[in-house]
Amino acid sequence: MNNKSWKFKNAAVTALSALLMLSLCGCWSYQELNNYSYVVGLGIDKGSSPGRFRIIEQLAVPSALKKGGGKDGDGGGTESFWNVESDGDTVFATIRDITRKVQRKPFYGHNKVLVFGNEIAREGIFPFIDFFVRDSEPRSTTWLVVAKNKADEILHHKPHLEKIPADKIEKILESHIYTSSYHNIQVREFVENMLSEGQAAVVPIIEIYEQKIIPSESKEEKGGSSRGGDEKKKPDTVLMINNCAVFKDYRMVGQLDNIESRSYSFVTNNAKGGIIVIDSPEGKEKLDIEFYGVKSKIKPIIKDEKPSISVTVKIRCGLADQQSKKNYATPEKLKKIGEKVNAEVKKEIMDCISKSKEMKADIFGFGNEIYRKSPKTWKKLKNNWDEEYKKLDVQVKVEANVEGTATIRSIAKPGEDK
Amino acid sequence: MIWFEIILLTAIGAAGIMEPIRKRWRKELVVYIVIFLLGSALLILQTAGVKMPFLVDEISKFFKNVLHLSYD
Amino acid sequence: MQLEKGRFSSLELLFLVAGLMQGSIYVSTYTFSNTPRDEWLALLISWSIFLPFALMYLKLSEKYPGDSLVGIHDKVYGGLAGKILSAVYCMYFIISSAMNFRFPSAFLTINFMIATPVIAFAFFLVALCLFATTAGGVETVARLGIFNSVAVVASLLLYLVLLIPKIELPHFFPILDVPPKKLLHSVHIITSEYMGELFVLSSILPYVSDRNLLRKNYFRGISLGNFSFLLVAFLVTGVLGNEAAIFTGPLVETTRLVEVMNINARIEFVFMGFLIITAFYKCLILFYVTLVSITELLALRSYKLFALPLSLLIFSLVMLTNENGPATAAAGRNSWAFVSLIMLMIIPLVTSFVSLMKTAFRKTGR
Repeated sequence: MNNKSWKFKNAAVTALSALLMLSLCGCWSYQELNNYSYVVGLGIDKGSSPGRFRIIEQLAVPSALKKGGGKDGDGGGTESFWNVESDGDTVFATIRDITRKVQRKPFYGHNKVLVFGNEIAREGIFPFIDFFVRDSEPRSTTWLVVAKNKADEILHHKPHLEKIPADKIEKILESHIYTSSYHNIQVREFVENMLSEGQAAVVPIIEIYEQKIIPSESKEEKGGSSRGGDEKKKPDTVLMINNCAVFKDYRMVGQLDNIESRSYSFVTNNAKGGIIVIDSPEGKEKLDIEFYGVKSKIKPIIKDEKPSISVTVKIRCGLADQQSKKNYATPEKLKKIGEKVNAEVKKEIMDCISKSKEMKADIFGFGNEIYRKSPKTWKKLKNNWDEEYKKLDVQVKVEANVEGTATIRSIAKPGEDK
Repeated sequence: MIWFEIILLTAIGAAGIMEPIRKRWRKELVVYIVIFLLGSALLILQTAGVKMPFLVDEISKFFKNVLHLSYD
Repeated sequence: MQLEKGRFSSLELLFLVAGLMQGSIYVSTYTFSNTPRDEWLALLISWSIFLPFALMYLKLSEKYPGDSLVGIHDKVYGGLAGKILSAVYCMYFIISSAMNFRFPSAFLTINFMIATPVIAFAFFLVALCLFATTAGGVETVARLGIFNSVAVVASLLLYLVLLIPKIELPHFFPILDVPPKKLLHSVHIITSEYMGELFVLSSILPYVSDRNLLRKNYFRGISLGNFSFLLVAFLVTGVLGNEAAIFTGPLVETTRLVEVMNINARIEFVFMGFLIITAFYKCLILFYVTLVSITELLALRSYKLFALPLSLLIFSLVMLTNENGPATAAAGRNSWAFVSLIMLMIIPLVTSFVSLMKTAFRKTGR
């Protein structure tokens, strides 16, 4: 190869390498972090006019978060969050419209919660959920909740411990492991349930709970607090998950109270911990039984093409609190407590199943289990599953193993605890 | 834009064409020019906004409508 | 006719074969829409159907050692017919290359970098392939295989470990409850489009140095590729279940669900990196095969000379394919499987048959 051609080739290779190096710095369509605003919570309510709806975006204010800001009010300044609203006919168009008010493009990758207003939930959320699954920016691991009234009340509520309401909602949802009285659900799981034939979904309901605070006498003597108005019973409000909504075909069709929601968690293997209150086997006092391990199994039984379901729930628990002076730390008494727990939990589960049958909502996925066991049988039932579900025979068996009484037997004096 | 493209393509083509010219490979030169012109023409026509026939679509339609070999 | 002096070992062939198959993993979206729950079943059926064809490709190559696809066609079908068939194959490879260059580029822009034009990724892919083939040739192509395969398998195992909490075994049930047409569709796509592409290696097999281990390593490569596919099927079905049918990128969606210690790990960017690597490798192999086939068909002296005009041609076809994105996707899903079936399975079968007949007649003639 002669010198000239070698030099030429070298030059061509160098030029091509330099061109390719442009791809290594990763600058193409990059955006600086401070060109984005970060959406941490999103709410959807009915709009001001028929056919329209309102989107509330909760944006984190990084500078305020860094400084530890958070004063009264909700309009920027040192507030750690900023709620921006917009009305529209479709989700994506309304969301884009918000950029006319926000100087930075909202980024949905950090969105933690999606709150639907109660009215919208009852009418159906199908028109609103497509964007959150289809678009690559919002994550399908976003938590889904339904507001008791309006979503914007929830997102406007200032939290006490957290700086951003969306953070608080996320933390409350994660605390379900302490009570199991609600089932936290992500957008992905919700859509999966809706895509399954005959299946219904359970979504927690969040509300603003008023707890009245009565100021102490010493403050009154001193001349009252710096606040004006009626301080004696000024309510303090907190966000609280209370009850769960049942969704069928993307529409809210009913509610489960806290006990029913817990029963739902038991059956669907979502219960991680909580307290079951039972009557003492030897009196009218109450006992608090803490459960910390629940395993359940749903077994479909197909006999002569007629399905039935057998639910077995195994609970590991212990006596955590008692009002009675009796000593329950004997095997016989623990066994009695276990039987009480079995009966109580079984009753609660049966009540929950009855309620779901009234709503014609298969929240437990019994239809799916029948389908997995016998697709042929399911094909005959699926078109009329609402009615078939009402008639479905469900046998529940609860096996509670009361393992102990924590650190003490009884705080009664010796002799009083018999 | 198109003129820039034409100039750039000419420069790139000229860079590669030196070798067959120098080695006096006639067949290689012809093939090089043909493939290069074909590629350049396609690129320039597309940049100019001319609607091009799409071979994959035509083959797909042939299989679907004539041979009835398609899953849709 | 051998166009270059470069050689590579059969161990490198193992990873080359696996890399070519793994190039289809990250973009295997068509089959999940048909069989979201039974993808593993479709894979096993495809594997069993494809194995005899894989053996056939190998036997054809062993029967004509030193000859690539064009040479084999010349010897089997004779002068004109062989040349026409080889020309058809060259056309097929060019179109297939364009579709393969376009697919990962579009995938990346839709899922990760929406503001970036598809052409940008396609340009860099084409330029890289141009550079690799002109600078190195078949040795470079083969050498990259080990890096690619190890990276892909390691990434899949990483996803598996991180997604274990999200995998639900009930998603796999019931087994065998899938409409036969959908199962057939998935098996067809996997066999002809994903696995059938191994036929292109007929142009590369003449350059393997240690031919005594060729057969073993060839099938080991196929096994590694299939193992990767099965891992993907297990992951996607286990995590998404029936939901996998609605996603355009089920594996991307699966990786987006990784949560490490209740924090979203955003691990899909790792996925993006591996997608670029594995897609590049498949595109590189197809580009090289196209280049070598055209050079041999026209009996030209050097293939490196034509890398530049061919890359320009393929790039312009990628632009055209991108303009007709929905039509390409529809073709890939519905009718391209039949084109691949004819080009990559039926015609090679006929070629093998004709070759056998010719050998038999030659023997009886004597």
